[in-house]
Amino acid sequence: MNDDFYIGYLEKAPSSLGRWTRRVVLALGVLVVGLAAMLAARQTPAEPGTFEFGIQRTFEGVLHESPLPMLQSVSSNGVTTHYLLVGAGKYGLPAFARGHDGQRVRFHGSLIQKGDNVMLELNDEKSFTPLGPAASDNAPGREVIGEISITGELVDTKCYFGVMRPATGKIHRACAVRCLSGGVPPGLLVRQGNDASVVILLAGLNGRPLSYEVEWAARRVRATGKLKSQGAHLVLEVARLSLVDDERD
Amino acid sequence: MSTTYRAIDWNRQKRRYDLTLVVLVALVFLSFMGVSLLRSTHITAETLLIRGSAVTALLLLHVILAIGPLARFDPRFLPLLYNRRHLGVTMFFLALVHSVFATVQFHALGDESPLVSVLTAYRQDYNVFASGGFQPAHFPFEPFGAAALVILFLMAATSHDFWLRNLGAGFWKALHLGVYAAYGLLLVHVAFGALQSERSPAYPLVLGLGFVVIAGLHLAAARKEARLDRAELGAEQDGFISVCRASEVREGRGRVVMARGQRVALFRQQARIFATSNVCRHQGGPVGEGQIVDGCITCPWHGWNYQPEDGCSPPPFQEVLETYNIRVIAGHVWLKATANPLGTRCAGSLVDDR
Amino acid sequence: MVEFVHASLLAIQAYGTLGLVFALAFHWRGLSRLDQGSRGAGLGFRWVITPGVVALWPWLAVRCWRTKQVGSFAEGPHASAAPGRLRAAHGLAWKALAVLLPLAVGVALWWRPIDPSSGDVTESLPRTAAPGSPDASLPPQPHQPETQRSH
Repeated sequence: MNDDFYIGYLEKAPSSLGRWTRRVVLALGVLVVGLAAMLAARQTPAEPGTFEFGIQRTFEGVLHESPLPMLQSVSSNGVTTHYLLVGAGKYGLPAFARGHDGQRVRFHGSLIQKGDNVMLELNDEKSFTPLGPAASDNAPGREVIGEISITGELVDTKCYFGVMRPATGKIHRACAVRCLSGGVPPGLLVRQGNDASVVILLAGLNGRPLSYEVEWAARRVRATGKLKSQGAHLVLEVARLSLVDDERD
Repeated sequence: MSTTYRAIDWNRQKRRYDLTLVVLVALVFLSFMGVSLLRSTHITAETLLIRGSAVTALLLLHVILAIGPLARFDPRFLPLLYNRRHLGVTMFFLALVHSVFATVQFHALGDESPLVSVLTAYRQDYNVFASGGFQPAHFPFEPFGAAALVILFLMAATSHDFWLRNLGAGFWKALHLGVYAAYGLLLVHVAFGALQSERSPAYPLVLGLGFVVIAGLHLAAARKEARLDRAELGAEQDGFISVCRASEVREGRGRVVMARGQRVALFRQQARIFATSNVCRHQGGPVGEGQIVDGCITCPWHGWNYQPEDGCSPPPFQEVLETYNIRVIAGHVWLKATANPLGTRCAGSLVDDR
Repeated sequence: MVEFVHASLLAIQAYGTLGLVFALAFHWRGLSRLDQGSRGAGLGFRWVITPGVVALWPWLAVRCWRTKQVGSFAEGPHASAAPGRLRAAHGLAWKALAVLLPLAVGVALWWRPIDPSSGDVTESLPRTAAPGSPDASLPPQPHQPETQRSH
């Protein structure tokens, strides 16, 4: 056995022991740094998305509170965009923006965007200005696609459209519950083969709010109802929503 | 050793130890963040921090847990043990960063107080039969992490020698055995959390490998210790037990022997053999695995000193080990199995090696 | 359950607040009385022990109450730690972990459900977007890009 004896409160350790310790620490360092890199490399890549945190733009259009809160806005070159509306933090449409269904409004908000799905965070109460009733022909343009029954993950659309990346699965589950509980519109994330995915917004029947268990967030659920398109969004008016029994991985 | 407390008693070795620690932690963190950004370009900074701190903390915990048993098998690992508490405190801070960012990110700014949300966000699934059939994988993972953090906090908060003294070594040691519980809780936290979202087999593989290594080392060390504790007693005469040959105790070195269920340290200095309790007054380190340095028995863990003839620490220190009466007859060491009252002087027994 | 957690956190908060008050008193009088080693100790040391004082204040309060002066290692581990028992506890702890942990992690992995977003549709959806595709450019703004930064 080696007779080198280590006493930590002395200024120097025996030199052979020091050499050995340096070698051990170096090997250990290489091992842990390598492991950290390997673990990082095996992560599922986060999906793209945009959240213009801290950036506010001015938006104007017609506010529709049902079936889901949206701003229908026409640009100067005549293109109509439907922005889903949420509040700051883990909340849906803020109180100050309620009660203006069908009215023209103007406000500052931050853009959240994933692909064609666009959403605005209303985070500036003072800027919110009602501009009076909209022209009568300005009803939300909804197109019925058909009856559909579909299974996927219940997500909160605010995080999924870009606030958090990644924003799915069990790690994010508690956050999704909080967001849904705060009134953020629920979505059904459906991945089909070839890595293609789509989010279908879930709404209640006949313009009523959807009643459902927020704790089903990040779980696999099956929704049946009438699928419509509203601008670039797909909206399912849900007749039936249920938790799907687990299939083992 | 010192007579007055300081926050940290720095010296050259300790500074090197801590510098190495900081550099390694930074390298692990940066390596995780860098590769994550290459692999997952859209990942947010908060997610990177949450994951990076978790991975770094968990890797560091494995290192911390390996040092103890490694030092039992090879004393050359003792330099890593000396300041192990610095690793523990660092690990706690990494875990704290992870917890604070995760709590703010996932639970704050909502309709429930964040800490309450941590424990209750999807409380239905505390009942693994809630959605019909046995579905344990949905069980909330956050409480396991929270419980581990509480244990790690208590350990970090009481890591200073002041606590050893004022909680009593028994309570202190028992409290710090809590690291094993924290390790278990963290593995469960990861298995029911991250491993449910991240499906690469690399994660369970690394976690399992780490567990096999750590548990293997600890079980092997426990086995080695138990074997020593079960050592058969030698012959007994007039209350003295034959414990070993005198030649097995080398000059300036210690040897641990068993006497009626207690470990006793034998030391040889200037052809005399002395016997003291094997349990260091500091952290209960194995005194008998130490050496004689500058005429004093020196504990291998943190270098605490005791005089061989009376077990007293050299002044101004006040720590005392029990001494045991000893006889060397015909090349055999005979030890009186009952310890002397604290401070009793024993001249030791002269070894006749001829 | 939520109410219970709320109440527990309140209780912990109250305990911590009492601990803070105790810590002040402890630094003022208790520390030097309880532990002679603390005499002449610096501010750094006092900071280092404060989280523990707040967390374990009832223990210290009892020690302060019961003893005029302790804090010598003369009554150290041998009297109170029973190293044999600690060694046994260590061995037992790892035997327990060696059984329980593989079991718990095994349950989590064996019953791990498929990715919840795995699709299952009665008819094909009108359109899909690949998750890896880059963001579409910003939608046309209704009016001027009157951008302003806040925060």
